[in-house]
Amino acid sequence: MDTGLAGKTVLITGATRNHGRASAVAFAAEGANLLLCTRQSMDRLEETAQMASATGVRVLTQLCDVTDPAQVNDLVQTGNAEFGSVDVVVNNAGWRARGSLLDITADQWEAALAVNVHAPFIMCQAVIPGMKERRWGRIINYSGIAPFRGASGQGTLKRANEGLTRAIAKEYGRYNITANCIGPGSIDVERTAGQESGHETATELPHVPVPRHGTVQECSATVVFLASEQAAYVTGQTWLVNGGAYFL
Amino acid sequence: METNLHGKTVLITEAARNFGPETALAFAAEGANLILGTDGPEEELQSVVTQAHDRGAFAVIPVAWDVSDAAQVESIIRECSTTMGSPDVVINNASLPMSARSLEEISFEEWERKLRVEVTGTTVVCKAVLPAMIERQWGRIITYVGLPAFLGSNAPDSAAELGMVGLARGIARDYGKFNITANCIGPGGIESAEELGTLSFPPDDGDPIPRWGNQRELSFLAVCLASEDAGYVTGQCLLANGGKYFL
Repeated sequence: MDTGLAGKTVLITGATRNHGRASAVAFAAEGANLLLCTRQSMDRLEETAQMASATGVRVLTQLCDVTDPAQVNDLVQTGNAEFGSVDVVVNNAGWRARGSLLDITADQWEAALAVNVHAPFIMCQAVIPGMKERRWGRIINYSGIAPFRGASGQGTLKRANEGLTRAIAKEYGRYNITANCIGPGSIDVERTAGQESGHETATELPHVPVPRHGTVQECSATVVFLASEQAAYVTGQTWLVNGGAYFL
Repeated sequence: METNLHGKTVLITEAARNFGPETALAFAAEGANLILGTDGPEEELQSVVTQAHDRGAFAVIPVAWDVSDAAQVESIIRECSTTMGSPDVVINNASLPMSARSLEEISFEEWERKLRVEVTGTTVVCKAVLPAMIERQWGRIITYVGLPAFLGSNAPDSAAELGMVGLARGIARDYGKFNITANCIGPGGIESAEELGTLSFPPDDGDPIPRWGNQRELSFLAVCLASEDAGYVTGQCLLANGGKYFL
């Protein structure tokens, strides 16, 4: 399938591992140039860049705290200056507020709100003017299973992110800009200490119609499709990649 | 209909504006005690306080507050609870009205403030009332969202409203075992005295029910969801919108 992504610029936040890294590799395979960022681990980001650039595409890496508008604007300027445009944004960076509502501290809430909700807003404000001008853009945000199964912190914030996505879809569809969410279910991923949920391992999940954990590659395939030329009429949606754990 | 709301304490986070006054009066008619909040001056609640007494409310406390200020919310709820018991039912309808503008025209500060009042503020209120609900093994949390959550609208409205839908689902999952339910009501095209900007969806000939809804039709839903017999309904969003949008 020709996705029409060759030569396009794809910006991926939090591309050090898991979904971000898998998406970088998947977009590189389509011939897209990449602008990757992280706010902490440049070493790991460079590993991702190496994996992706093996396909011959250009890959730029930059430190960026996606909750800081000045740093995000600077990142997007890098993309415009080096590649001429930022065509696709994958707002993958996330931070989990775990536990029941009464267990989540005000600090945890603020940190999760900043990364999961404010950051995509800041990024979209930075990239949409250029997308409008070129009348082409794809924004992909991350939801998850939490908003559908219920989780006070993560479910609230990911759902807010879906609201932002719908608003962008509504406002900018006329410019050929689409905005969608991907909603991964139980995916086999590496977690930071303290952010484990206890079920992201490659064990069986007998209660799920596809009774196993998904892979980040299965998610990034969906992300690539949502970014492709062929997905131009899909907007404001959340596509669940969850083995049927929840049906919309 | 027997709602079993007589003598229960109902907190309405914004009772001076939007659908707050009519909702307060609907609960007053059930004989509930009321804590009525507003983000404006307390005097703006005077009219609804008087009417609530006339309709049958046993006790009514007006409070001026900022729901995003956790310390203030906790202190006010603690104080009110000493006189009329802690809230059994909470109606979250605090909002920060903002004119509809393009994403590119909204400052980050405006966006942040909107989410702080509507999303963080709603969590602050819920956190303040949940411990007593858990202790009594009974609680009803009802949040007014709106059609923007589903139809898409300007970014702050859509994000804040859908965020509150997520919160209701989270509370529903975590606290259902304590007989606490959390649901949303999604009004659309409800006649209101206020200028609601993009939040008003005028009747359209293509609508299944092509007329304005009235506020009684909305507050009826709130009373139903708060009633004893709604104890198995949780994590849901009920749209009162004349069929403009189906979930």
